[in-house]
Amino acid sequence: MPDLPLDQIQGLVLRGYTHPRARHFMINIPNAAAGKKFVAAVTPMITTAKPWGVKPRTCYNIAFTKDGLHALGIDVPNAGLVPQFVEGAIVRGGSQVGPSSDLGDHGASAPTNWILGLGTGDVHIILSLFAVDTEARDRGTDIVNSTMASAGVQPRGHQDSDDVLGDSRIHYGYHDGISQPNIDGAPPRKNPDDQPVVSTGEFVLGYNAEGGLLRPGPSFDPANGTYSAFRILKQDVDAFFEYLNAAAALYDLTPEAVQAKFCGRWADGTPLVLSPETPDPSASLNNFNYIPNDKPARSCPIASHIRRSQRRNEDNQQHRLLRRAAPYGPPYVPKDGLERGLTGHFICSSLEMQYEFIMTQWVNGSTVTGLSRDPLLGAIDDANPPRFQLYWKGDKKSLEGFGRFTTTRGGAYCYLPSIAGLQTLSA
Amino acid sequence: MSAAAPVQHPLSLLIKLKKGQKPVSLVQPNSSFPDILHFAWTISLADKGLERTILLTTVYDGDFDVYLDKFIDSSHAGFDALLPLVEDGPPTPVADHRAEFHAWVAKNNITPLPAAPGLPPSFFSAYPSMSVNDIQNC
Repeated sequence: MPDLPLDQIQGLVLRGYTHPRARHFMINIPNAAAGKKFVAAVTPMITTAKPWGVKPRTCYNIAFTKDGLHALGIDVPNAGLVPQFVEGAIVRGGSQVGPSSDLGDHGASAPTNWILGLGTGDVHIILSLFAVDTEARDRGTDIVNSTMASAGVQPRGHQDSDDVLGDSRIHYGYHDGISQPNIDGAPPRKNPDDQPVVSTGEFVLGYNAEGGLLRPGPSFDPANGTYSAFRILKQDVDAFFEYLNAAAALYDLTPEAVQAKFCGRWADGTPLVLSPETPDPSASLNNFNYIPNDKPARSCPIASHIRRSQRRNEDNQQHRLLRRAAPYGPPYVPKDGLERGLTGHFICSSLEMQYEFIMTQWVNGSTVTGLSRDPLLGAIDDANPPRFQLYWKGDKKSLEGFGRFTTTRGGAYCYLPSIAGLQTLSA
Repeated sequence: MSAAAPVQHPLSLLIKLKKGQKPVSLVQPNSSFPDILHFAWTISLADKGLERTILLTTVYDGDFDVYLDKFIDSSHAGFDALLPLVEDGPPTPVADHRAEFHAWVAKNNITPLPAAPGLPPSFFSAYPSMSVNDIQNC
């Protein structure tokens, strides 16, 4: 087990904050001097993975796009950064389209439609503020605004999230954030799962990844940084619940059962593998595998969201993600016309083998099932029509007639430096 | 059946071993192998006039280049043991020579003949959009 320098690693990487209010500031660096001044000013504010004793009212973390590192004077193509980051989310979203490798960022989800300047290359820094309540978020916002103003960097708007639906629910109704990887060397989590411990290098650069190969950091920050895919994902909650009701009537199911089969869990988090016909508050939320008991997928559909995006003992530990995302938009009220979704960082040390692999091969790919894409997250369209096979009380049913529920409103491939890396970037 | 794109693909890898090496099967059951492999078999072509040559034939699901990288990351030790036994094999350690490994696979993969007018395609599947998982879950 590596002895990790917790005071060097950004806290968001090793710890899921329980602060319900977040604000992600999009920031442009007009010149290197202003950018360095800003990075120097915020570096002492950055929350690290060091144990904090008393939970702080606010936490801050910082992420840079390739355009941001370039604006700070880094020779991005020659700095030992991974190719997907060097290309960036805008280019990758535009190029990874089609049957063999589809990130799903096309049509309404195309980078040209992204909000907050995320589709333009103008967003250089995403500074994330996490707060215990709205008052703490407002106070943190005042600090960020004054720091930006005195350094001379340009605000480009912000994206909030508000994890206030209760029980860590997302707008589709599910209890979320249950399964997160156990990282070798990281402080123990309150609710660890029974999945194997994942090599440090899958989430922190400068350490060995699964298989034993070193995953090096960039030349300006050789260890303790990492990457993320920042995402703003709009959820069509009206269409989702309308479909659950329609499908229940059409296929002789309940809306709750359709909802559960789509996810692989009942809304309360009960895994279908452990309780296929009803939620069970006494069931373990995370202590289950697919092989051997549900190998034929009679309980948890092979096409369900959790079974195709975190394959447990149906694959190895090379494709895990740290999901630091939370809902945005107000609690659901039918047909109120307000936007809702999920936003945050999906953290990994290899954008290729983790974020992009999951999206292109499993969520929008055909290697888990050739019949359809992920019903919750997949890019379902005319070329990739909906079809969802499930078993319910011994009967096989094939659900059709639903569209794409989740669209991309913004994305960025980010580098999250270590504290030493931030000091190098600001020098 | 939906109009999903074909998920199954063939790979026919011709491998010539160095002098002194005997043809061996490259197919070994591996429970940690993800369910993307429909069929795999190795045949020796030694008595067909191609000495020390074996043909590894597989039918697999998905994007092979992506999975090749996955196997390099997770199974590099096995590749590093095998490839030095191969004539004109790619350099090892394979993790440090990924592009050469991909190129070697591409060069030695015998692609199926194109379909001729009026004849069935030379790679045929009765259920081309069904993955291994889909078949197992029927």
